[in-house]
Amino acid sequence: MSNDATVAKIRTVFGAALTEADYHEMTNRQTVTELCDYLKGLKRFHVLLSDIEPSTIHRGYLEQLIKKESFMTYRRLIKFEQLDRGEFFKFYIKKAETLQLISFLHMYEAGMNEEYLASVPGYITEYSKVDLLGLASCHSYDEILSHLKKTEYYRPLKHLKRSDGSEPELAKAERALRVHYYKRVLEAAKKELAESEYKEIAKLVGTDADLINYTNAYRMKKYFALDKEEIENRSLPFSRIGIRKMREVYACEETDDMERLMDKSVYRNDSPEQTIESRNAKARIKAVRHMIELTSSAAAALYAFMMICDIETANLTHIIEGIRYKADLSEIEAQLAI
Amino acid sequence: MATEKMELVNINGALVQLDEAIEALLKSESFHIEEGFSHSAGGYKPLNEKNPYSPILKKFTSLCTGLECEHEKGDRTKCDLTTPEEFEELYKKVYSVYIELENRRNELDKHIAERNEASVQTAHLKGMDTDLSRLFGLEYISIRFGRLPSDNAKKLSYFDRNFFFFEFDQDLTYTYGMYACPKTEKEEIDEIFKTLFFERTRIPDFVKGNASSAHSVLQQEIAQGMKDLELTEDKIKDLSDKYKMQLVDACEKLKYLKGAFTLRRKAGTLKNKFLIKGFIPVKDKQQLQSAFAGKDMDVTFLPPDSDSGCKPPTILKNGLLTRPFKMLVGMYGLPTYGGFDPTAFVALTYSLLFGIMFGDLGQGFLIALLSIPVGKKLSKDMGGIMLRCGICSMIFGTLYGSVFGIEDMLDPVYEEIGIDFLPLRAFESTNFILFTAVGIGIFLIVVSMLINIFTSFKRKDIESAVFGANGICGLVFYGSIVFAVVSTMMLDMEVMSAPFIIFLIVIPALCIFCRVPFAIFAKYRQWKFSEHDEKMTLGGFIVENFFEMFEFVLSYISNTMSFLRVGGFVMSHAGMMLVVMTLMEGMSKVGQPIVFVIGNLFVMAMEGMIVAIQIIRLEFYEIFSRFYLGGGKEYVPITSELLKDDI
Repeated sequence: MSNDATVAKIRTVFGAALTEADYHEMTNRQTVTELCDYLKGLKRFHVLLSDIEPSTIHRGYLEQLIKKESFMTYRRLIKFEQLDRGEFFKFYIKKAETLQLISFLHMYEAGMNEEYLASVPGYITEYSKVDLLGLASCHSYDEILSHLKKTEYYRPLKHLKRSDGSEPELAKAERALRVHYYKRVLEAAKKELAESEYKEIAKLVGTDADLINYTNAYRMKKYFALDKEEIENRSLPFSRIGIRKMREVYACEETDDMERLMDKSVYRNDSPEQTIESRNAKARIKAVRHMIELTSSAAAALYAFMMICDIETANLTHIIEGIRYKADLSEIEAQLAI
Repeated sequence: MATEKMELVNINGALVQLDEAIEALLKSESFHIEEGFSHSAGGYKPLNEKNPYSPILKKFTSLCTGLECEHEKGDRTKCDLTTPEEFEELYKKVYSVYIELENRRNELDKHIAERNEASVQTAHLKGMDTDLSRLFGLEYISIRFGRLPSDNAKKLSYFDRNFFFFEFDQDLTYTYGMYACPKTEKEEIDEIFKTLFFERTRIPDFVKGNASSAHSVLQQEIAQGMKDLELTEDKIKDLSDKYKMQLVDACEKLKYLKGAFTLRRKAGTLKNKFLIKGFIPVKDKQQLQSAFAGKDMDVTFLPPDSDSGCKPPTILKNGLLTRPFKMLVGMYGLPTYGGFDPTAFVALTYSLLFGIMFGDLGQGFLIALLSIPVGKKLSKDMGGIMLRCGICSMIFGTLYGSVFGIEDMLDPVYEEIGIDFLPLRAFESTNFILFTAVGIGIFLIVVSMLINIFTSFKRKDIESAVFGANGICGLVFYGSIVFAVVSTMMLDMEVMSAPFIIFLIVIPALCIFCRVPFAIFAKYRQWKFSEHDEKMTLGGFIVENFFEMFEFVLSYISNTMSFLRVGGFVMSHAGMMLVVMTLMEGMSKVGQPIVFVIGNLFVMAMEGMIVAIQIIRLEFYEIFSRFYLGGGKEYVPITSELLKDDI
């Protein structure tokens, strides 16, 4: 079924995305109040921030509202042609669930269940089938499994349970959840979308996975000096440029060599002075922007667009934190993924 | 129809003189800088330095935004500061006063906002008659009033803690209410609510009595806060008035210095030497020499093609009449340096085609008139194009006898001077107009082929010049077919004899078919099917060229027929104006002028734009595709490099 209207709408919304000039203006602001005032003036955030008093808003709440705007934009886009009936188009809710579960596992390990409760974005609980708030009352891995028993997340986490009853390794649980998410996205795409659309989604998933894998591999190499097998065991089994090529990256002795190899791929970096996170966000933008501009598939356009929204949110969070902690704003501007 | 002559310039000197060299280049203005560390620069490496002017410029921009003078125009020559430290000193001097006032303003903003919030809160409590001081005076219970995001309000029931929350009210974003908890657990519960972004509303301690009296006290405090805020804003304005020109001048100077410093990254360095490479228009060579006169640096001028690592940039050189049309050529892509500049050809064909397709003396005059404000306010090139098109439209409008759609207005003039074949009425000469349109098309295609033959010979491309579909063979093939069709179908002449077919159609077609092996033979005296693909077989060659040949023949036909639109628009214009006239006749005396004006404006706007776009299409697809090779590099003078955002 053709969803040209949604594609056109996505392109229109994409056209109103934050520009370099917007970011430049934002990094000229000295307080969170001034920044909030500026955001209120932008069409995209105007409605969401209309009831907000810039001088009293908490930095964390502003960040949460910015994330909410991305989520509500996603809701508006899938409602436009009732795309929310298809399983594939629930991908952003599933992504939010996955990230919340990962966040919970981290906080649970640190014994911060109450902090987790405060951190759950309230708007997600309305659309999620998982009782994300109820998770806060779980105090053992068994309780977590029993809480998630009737959800799709039970199976990937159940396999990690150790025979001696000890808690599973957090990194493995995180990987299992991420793998499950991407698998579900690809399965739904294969089942519900045309072959060409599936290929485009696979390309986007591969891009996402490649850059997550590269970031993790870079850190593991730089800070923990892990070998290629250990890195590969912790990486996601999806790739756009090919698992073999990624293995070559993991096998490098130095991070500079990893960077050189990545530069030879589609993820070429034009700003060597950027941090690994900004560099990858920039590479991600470059890879998906093209997709939004050229694809005729609503599924691919939406998936790509939500990737861009997530990067915008990260950029804004970066600016807010920079302003709050009086960082060098020219440095922050240079690190933004635009 | 040529491009501006350039020379390659190499500047060598000691690294300590690099800033001096850049300063001199900026003075010369027209220097186009290239990277001095390209592969042909023999071991030269780029400088990898942090720009010391970036952080301070950011600070100044931020301060200007705060003092609301960021849109003022500055003059860098009025600023005497040069080092980042000097700029930092000025910044600190102004910033220390500003930040004090800004903090005061923020405090007052917060003070007013808090009281506004409290006022909203007490408005929500107005029904509560209990003395607020009694609530706050409870011995074992702490009470907090405020609001929290509604998204977070639903999380409260999940906390297994000793507190309860009373909800008073809700709007789209917030839930208003109060919570109560034991005083012994106050800190922990406050912390939980803080993480849920609970915004506490402080009811001032001196507020006694019920919610209504608290509300009126808050209103008084808000009024006082507003007065103080006004005073603080006046002080900020005074500060801005005192320093704004100094700040914006400094900003301009910093932008210049930051840009100049970044140009250092274009230089190549080797030990203590630097190398700057670039191009200069020959006419400005003298200016560059004088900028470097007396400096201990080597400035070498070389032919533009002497460095394989640097491609010379292109500056289109055009006369006054044709200059505005370089905008259209630029849209397609610049010609390579020394290549054929088609601007004059475009200027001539575009103006003539516009005149033919949109011929109206009155409307053409209006377009020419409109070109003045467009040229001044929007784009000089656009204004220039409109002026030339307007004049052509007037000329052809005179030939058609059409003035604002009135087709018989010029009849007496032609009768008076005794010209009986004019005016040329669109609906009375349909065949003539359509055949002429196709004739124009054939003529333009032939001219395009001739240009291609000329330019291909110039760059020694035998395949394109002789054997190509737009080369000599293509011209003979296309010309013969056109001649045969016209002679047979219109002039009743039998020209399709065997020698005609063999020598003027079949042999040229075969040459086009075998253009690659023929060109390779002419160049290398060797028979090969492909220059790059060693594995090309005879079968592959035939299949590939069969389809290409098919496409060539199809493009000859479609390109020629495409020019029918020229005739089509002549009639379309006349037809649309006929509709306007018919509508006008059906109106009353009052309505007629209104319909006449609106109709003319509508036709001018709509058809004018469509015709303009259609001609661009004809130029790009039917004409340019036959001879034009883009791929030229844009000429960017060093002063424009300074304005780039990324530097």
